[in-house]
Amino acid sequence: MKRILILEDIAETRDWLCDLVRQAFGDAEIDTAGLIRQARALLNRSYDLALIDLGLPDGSGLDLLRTIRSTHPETICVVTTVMGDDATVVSALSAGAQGYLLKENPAPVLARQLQQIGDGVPALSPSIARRIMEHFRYTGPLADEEQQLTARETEVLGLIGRGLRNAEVARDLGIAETTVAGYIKAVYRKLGISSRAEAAWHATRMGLRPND
Amino acid sequence: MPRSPFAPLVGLILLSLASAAVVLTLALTQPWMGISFAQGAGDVPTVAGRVTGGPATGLQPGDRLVALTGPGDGARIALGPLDTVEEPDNLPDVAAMRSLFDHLGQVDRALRDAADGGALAVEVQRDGATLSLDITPEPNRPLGDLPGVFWVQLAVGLCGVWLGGWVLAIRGREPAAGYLAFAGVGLMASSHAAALYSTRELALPDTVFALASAINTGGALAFGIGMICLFLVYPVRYLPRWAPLIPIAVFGTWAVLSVLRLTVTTTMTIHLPVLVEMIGILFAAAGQVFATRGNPHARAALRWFGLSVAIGAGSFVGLIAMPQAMGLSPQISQGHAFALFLIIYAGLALGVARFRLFDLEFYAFRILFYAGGVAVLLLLDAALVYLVAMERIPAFSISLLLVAFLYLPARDLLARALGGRRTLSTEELFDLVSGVVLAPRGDRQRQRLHDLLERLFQPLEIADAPGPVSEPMLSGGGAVLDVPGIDTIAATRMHWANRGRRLFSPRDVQRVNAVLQMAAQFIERRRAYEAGAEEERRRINRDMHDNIGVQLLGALHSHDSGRKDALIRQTLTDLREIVSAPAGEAPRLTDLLGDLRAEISEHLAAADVRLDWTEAAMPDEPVAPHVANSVRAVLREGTSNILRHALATSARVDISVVPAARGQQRLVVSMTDDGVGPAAADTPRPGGGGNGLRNLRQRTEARGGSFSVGPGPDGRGTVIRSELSLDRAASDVRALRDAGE
Repeated sequence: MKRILILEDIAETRDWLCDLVRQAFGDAEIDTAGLIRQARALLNRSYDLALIDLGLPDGSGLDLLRTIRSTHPETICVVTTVMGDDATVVSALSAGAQGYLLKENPAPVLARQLQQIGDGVPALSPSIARRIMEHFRYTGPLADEEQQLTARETEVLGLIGRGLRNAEVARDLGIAETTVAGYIKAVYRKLGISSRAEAAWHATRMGLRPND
Repeated sequence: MPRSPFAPLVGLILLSLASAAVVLTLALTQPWMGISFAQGAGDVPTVAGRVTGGPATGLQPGDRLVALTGPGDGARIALGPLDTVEEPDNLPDVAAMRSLFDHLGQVDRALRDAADGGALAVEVQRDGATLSLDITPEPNRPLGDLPGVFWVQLAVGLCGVWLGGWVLAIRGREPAAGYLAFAGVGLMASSHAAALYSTRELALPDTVFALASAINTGGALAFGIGMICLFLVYPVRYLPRWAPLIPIAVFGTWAVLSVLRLTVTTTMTIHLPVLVEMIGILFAAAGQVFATRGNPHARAALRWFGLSVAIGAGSFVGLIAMPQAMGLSPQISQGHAFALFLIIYAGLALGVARFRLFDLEFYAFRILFYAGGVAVLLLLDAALVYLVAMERIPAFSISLLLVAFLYLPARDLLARALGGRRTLSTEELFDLVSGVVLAPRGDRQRQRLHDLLERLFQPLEIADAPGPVSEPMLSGGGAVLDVPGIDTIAATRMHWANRGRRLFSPRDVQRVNAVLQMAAQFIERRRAYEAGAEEERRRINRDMHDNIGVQLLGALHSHDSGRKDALIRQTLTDLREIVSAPAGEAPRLTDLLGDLRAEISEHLAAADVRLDWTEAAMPDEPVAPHVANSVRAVLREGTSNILRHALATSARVDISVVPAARGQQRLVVSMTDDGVGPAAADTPRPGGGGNGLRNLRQRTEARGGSFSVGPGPDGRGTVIRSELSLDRAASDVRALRDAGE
C-alpha cells in the first residue's frame, strides 16, 4: 500500500485517519480530499487504496466509489462511515466496496481491520451478514445460480451473523481462514450482480438502490 | 280530526266495483243466440260462427241474416249493415244513432219475447237461397261467452280508477291528484260503457244503448278535461290559479251538450271535441316542458309522462295505425286500444304520485332505447319493402341484422350522448380517492372530497349535511344525496346532480358506497402506516433516552479521558444500531448477542485478549428493550473493565437461560477474566472504573434483576454476573405491539 486516497470532510477525522493509515501501512503516500469534487480531480493518478466517507457535503461517496471501480479496478475501495446504517453499508458493498470501517471503533481495532482488508480479508459485521442473507432470500428461485448463495456461503454468513470472527468460523467449519475470506468476497461479488437483477422494491428495502 | 287519506281510495274502489257489477249484470241479462258476426262485411249481419249446441245451431258460417220476426204477431224486422257496428260514434249524426238504437231496441224486444216463450223466425240467405229458420234464444248470456275484449275494457276501467284513488290517497292535497282521479273516473265510465255495447251479441234495449253511448262520450270528454287540467298544474303550475276553469267550462259545456245529444253530428258530439282536447293536452304539456326547465324534480315527473305517452301512443301507432297505413287490417279492436290509454294513464299516475322518480332515468333510457329499436326495425322493413321493392322475408331479415349489428351496439354511445355524463376511469377514481385520503386533515381534505364528488356527480350544490349521516341516503325524492363523513370530513349533502339537470338515483348511492368503501380501505392502511411510524418514533425516543442520553451524560461527567472516549464510541455504535434496526421490530435475542459478541471480540482481539464465548440455546424471541439495554451494558462495561484495569490475557462469557418461578425464564450473563481481580481493580484510580459497575447494579436491580461482582473461582480475576427476567420482556413486547396496532 504505497499510494492511498482519503476522502473525508471532517478535518480532525481526516488527520486521524491519516495517522491510522500510517500506523497500519507504515510509510505511504497519502492524498486527502474533503469533497467529492476534489477527490475526482485526484483520480488521474492511480491508488492502491481509497478510504471513502459516504456522507459528504457535495454528494454521496458511493458516486466516487463507482467511478473508481470503473476507471481504476485495481484500487481497493474501503468505505468509512459512522452513522451509516446497515442498508447504506450493504449498498456500498454491492457498488463494489471491498470493505468498510466503522469510524467510532478505537484506532487499534481499525488499524487491524485495515491491515486485514489490505491482506484480502474482508470484514463483515453480524448485522450486515444477516441483512445480506435476508437480501438473498428475496432473489427467489428465478434468479440464476450466479445470483444465489451456495450452501457454504450461507453457512459462513450464518455464523458471522451470530457474532463469530473469521477465525472462529474457519475453526467451526474445519476450513482455512483464507477460505472463509474467499467465501465472503464471493458474497460481496454476488451482491453486486444480484442487486442489478433485483426488483426495485426489495433493492430499496435492502438499501441496494443507489441513493436517489 | 284529519280525514283518512284512504277514504277517497275506498270510495273510488267501491264505485268502480259497482260500475263493473252493473255492466256485468246488464251484459249477462241479454237474450242470447250464440252467434258471432263478422265485422264490417256485407250489407246485412253475416254469421262468422255459432256456439255448438247453442240456440242457433241451425245456422252456418257465411249465413246472412236478412230479417227477424218475433213470436206471435211480431212484425218482421229487416236487419241492416249498421246492426253489428262496434261503435255507434262512427255513424254520421245523432239522428242515425237514435234510429240505430230504436232499431236494435226492436230487435231486442223480439229476442226477449222469443226467449220468454215461442221462437224467433229468422230469414237467412245461404248460397243464394233464402231459408227461414226458427231460433229460440236463451234468456241470459252465459258468462263464458263474453269475449276477452269485454274483460279488457272492464279491467282498464277498474285499474284506472284504482290508480287514481291511490294517487288521491297519497297526494290528496294537490289539485293534480284530483284531476288525475277525475280523468280516471272518466276513463272508467268510457271503457265500462263501451265494454257493454261494443261486445253485445246483436241487440241492446234502446234506452240502455243510448245511455251507455252517452256515458261513453261523457267519460271520454271528462278524461280529456282531467288531462288538460292536470298538465296545467303538474308538474308545475305555470298559469294563474283560475286557468283550469277555462277548459272545465268550455269542454264541460260541450260534454253536457254531447251527452244530451244536442249536437247534431257525431263529429260535433265526439270527434271534434276529442281532437280539440288532444290539442289542448299537447299545448298544456308543451307549456310544462318550457316551465320545468331547470327544475329536475318536475322534469323527472314529466319524463314519466313522456315515457308512458311514448309507449302508449307508440303501441297504438305500431298496432293499429301502422298496419292500416301498410294496408293490413289491424289485429286489435277498439276495446284493446283502451289498454293503451291505461298505459298512458298509469304513467301519469306514477308521475303525480312521484313514485320512484329517481329510478326513472335508468328505466326510461332502456325502454326508449328498445322501443326505438323496434321502430327502426319496422321503418327499415317498410322502406325496403316499399322503396326497394324487396320481398318481405329477406327485407325483414336484413332489417333485423342491421338493428342487431348497428343499432344495439350503439347503446352505450347513445347513453353517454343522451345522459351527458362522463364516467371516471378507474385510474382517475383511484387518483381522486387517494387524494382525499392522503390530503392534510381538515379543510384541505374536505375540499378534495368535494372535488371528487364534483367530478362524479356535478351536483348543483355541495355543503355540509345538517346532521350526522350513517350511510349514503337519498331524500327529497332524489333531489338530495347525503354522504356520510369519512376520516376528518363531516357528512356532506349534495343537491341535484348534473348541474341540476338530474335527480340522484339508487345507482348514485351505489357509486358513493363503492367510493366510500375504497376510501375506507385506504384510510385503514394509512392509519396502519401512521401507527407504524408512531411506534418507530417511540422506539427511537426510548433508545435516545435509555442509551444515548445515559452514555453521553456519563461521558460528560467522567474525568477519565479513556472512559469518556469509550462512552462516546458506544454512543456512536448505538446510534448506528438505532438507525439500522428494522422498523417496528424488537431485536431478537440471538441477533443481539451476535452483534455484542462481534463487537467485544474485536475490541479484545485488538488488545490481544483471548475470548471464549459460550452461549446456550436461546429462545428465538424478540427481546424487550430494557433487557437488550441491560445485556449490552453488562457486556460492554465488563469488557471495558477488562481492557482498562484487569491486565487479563483471556476472558470468558457464559450466557444461559434458566427456569425461574411460575414458569418464567431468566437470562444469566456472566463475564470472567483472569486478571488482577476486583479488589485490586477497584483501588482508587482517577475517574474510577467502579462507577460504571455501580450504575449497572442499580439499573439491573431497578428492573427486578440481580447483579454481582466478585473474585474469580480460583481467587484470580473477576466475575460479573447478571440475571434478568425474560418473560416480562416478552409480555412487554406484546403490550407494545398491541399498543401499536
